[in-house]
Amino acid sequence: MRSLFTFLLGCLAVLLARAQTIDTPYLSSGDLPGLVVTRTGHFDGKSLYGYMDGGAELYREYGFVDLTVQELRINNQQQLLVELFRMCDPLAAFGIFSVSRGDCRGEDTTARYWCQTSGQVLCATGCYFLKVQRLTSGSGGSGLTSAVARKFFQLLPDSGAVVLPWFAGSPNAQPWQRQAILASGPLGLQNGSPDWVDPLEGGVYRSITIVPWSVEGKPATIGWIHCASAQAASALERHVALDTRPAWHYIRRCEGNSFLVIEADLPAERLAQFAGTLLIH
Amino acid sequence: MSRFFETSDLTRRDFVKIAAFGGVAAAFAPLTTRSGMAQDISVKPATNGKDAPRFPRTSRSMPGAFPGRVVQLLNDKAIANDTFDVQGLHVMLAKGMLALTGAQGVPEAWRMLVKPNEVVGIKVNPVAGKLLSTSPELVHVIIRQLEEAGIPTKNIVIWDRRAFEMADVGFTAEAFPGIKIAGTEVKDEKGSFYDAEGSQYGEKMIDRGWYYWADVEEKYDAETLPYMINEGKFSYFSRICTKDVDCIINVPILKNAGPTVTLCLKNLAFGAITNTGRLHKQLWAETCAEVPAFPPLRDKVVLNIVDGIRGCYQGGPAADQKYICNFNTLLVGTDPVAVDRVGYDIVLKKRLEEKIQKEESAKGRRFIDLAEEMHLGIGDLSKITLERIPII
Repeated sequence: MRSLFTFLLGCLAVLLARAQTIDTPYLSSGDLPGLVVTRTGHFDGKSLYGYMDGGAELYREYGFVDLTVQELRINNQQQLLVELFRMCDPLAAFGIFSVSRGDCRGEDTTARYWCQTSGQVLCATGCYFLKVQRLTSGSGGSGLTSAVARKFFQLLPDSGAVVLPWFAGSPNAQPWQRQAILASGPLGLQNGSPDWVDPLEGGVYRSITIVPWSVEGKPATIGWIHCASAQAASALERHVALDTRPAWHYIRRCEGNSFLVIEADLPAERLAQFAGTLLIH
Repeated sequence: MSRFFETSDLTRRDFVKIAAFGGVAAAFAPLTTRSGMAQDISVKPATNGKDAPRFPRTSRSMPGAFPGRVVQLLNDKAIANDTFDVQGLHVMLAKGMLALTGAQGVPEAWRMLVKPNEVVGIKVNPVAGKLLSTSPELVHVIIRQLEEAGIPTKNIVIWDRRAFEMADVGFTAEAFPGIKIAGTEVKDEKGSFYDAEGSQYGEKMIDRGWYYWADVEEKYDAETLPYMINEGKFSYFSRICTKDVDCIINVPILKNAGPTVTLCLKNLAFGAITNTGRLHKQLWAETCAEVPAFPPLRDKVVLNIVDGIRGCYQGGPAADQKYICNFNTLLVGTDPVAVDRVGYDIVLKKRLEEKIQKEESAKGRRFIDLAEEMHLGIGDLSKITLERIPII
């Protein structure tokens, strides 16, 4: 009886897994005026090597589930490439978005995390990271990329906005979240905040949140490095010699196996005071 | 600027305040189990790279005929509205060949590097798709100049790892009549990697006599395996480079990979062997330097042409439209290390200008240093002769 139950449980797990992989949204020809889907591809499995080889490492670092790729032609002129990445959880989707958007500050009501440039829309919602890129030049490209992105959003489950843990308890900090970078490894750092790569080279950590801030009217960068254990935090402290990083003007080891790092051109005492206000919020 | 480093843990009261932030540790837990990044990757696994220099060198071995010499062609009109000026590319490459070799004529310049009876492999890079591939237009120009130098069309092969990726970006039999287009990883017309007996087509494309061994391995899922061809600690060279071609013209794209670049050495190393997935994380720089040090590449690559007409400075090696730009340049040289060094500076300069990074990363040039140690070329900028030629 027990083995039958185990078997049925196994079947259920397989069915659920299959259900997860076949409900990926995609566009069909005619979903938008003049839209023709010229190619649709789906990449499941644990890696993206088959699609992007070396570029896959970044997505794997965050936790990749699957990818739908579509090539679209609109009005028989513009060609667009759509890549819809399903990540393992909303934090991962936000993370990959955060290190991909650069200094883009684009706003859109469609998604909380949205970045639009002339040839590209990047956005994150729930477990999804969506990238719509123009393959051809010409006028009207940005309108098309955003129209396609919005259309995709209608097909995605409404899962609400992800809130980074670091910001959850502080309403004052919330506005900064849009500009935060969340890295879970060196490749995320390389893409989102390359200057933090070398100081942490070889270090072991779970995640890093990096946020541009303003301290007493001066530009600052705040980093929150989280380690898996107190032992790991101590090892990180020794390994990367945190206190030798010239630009890191304030470093504080906190409970929760974390480090608070502040880059700002202010006296250490003032930074310590500011750090206190951060923690009190 | 005074500095302040507190090593003492926060008080219990402080911890409660942090917990109010949302339970940092607990909430970040999902990020901890997914990637395998929570491991010390600073310890480098052993490789057989040290075996490569033991193979006797030939007159063609890297850095080739012109060590430390790089020619940069600059042409603001090389591309407009995504359309390449093919004649402009032709002029750029012709001037580059003349400047590199010192020959009096372009066909003569090519014949200094390639013999008419040889099978010439043009190694392209279509990995990032249509947005950021070696341009077919440039490859057409290379072929035209090879033909004018007396290389029979039937002796020219365009190759990379994946035949289907080449087709996606325009390297097709229709677009290149008479030219062989070859990939190590092959699908049939039904899209299958496997023949009727269940064997990978790719198995027939590798040469188990030449390999890169590294003490690191990764288990691939069923979908990924045919893109890697094999698992384990061995990466086998493609027979395209070990047997099918006599010499190689290497045509990478000018693009970044994080704070470093993927140019000549990367295009060769990761494009010529199987089972590369295991190498990215821990041995990227070593692979870039060591794989080209084995004879199938070291003794066959006669010329490197970096396609920098369009390239990228961030987001690479994948294509990210936002960071793709027109560098309007070609880099030409027989020395892949010197060419990579010059290309690295171009990308780094752009990254600094665009404030992607504030300063050069210590690891950015590591693969160049390693390649220089393998005697594949010159990475010291002060020893490189760079000639810049504007095309007006």
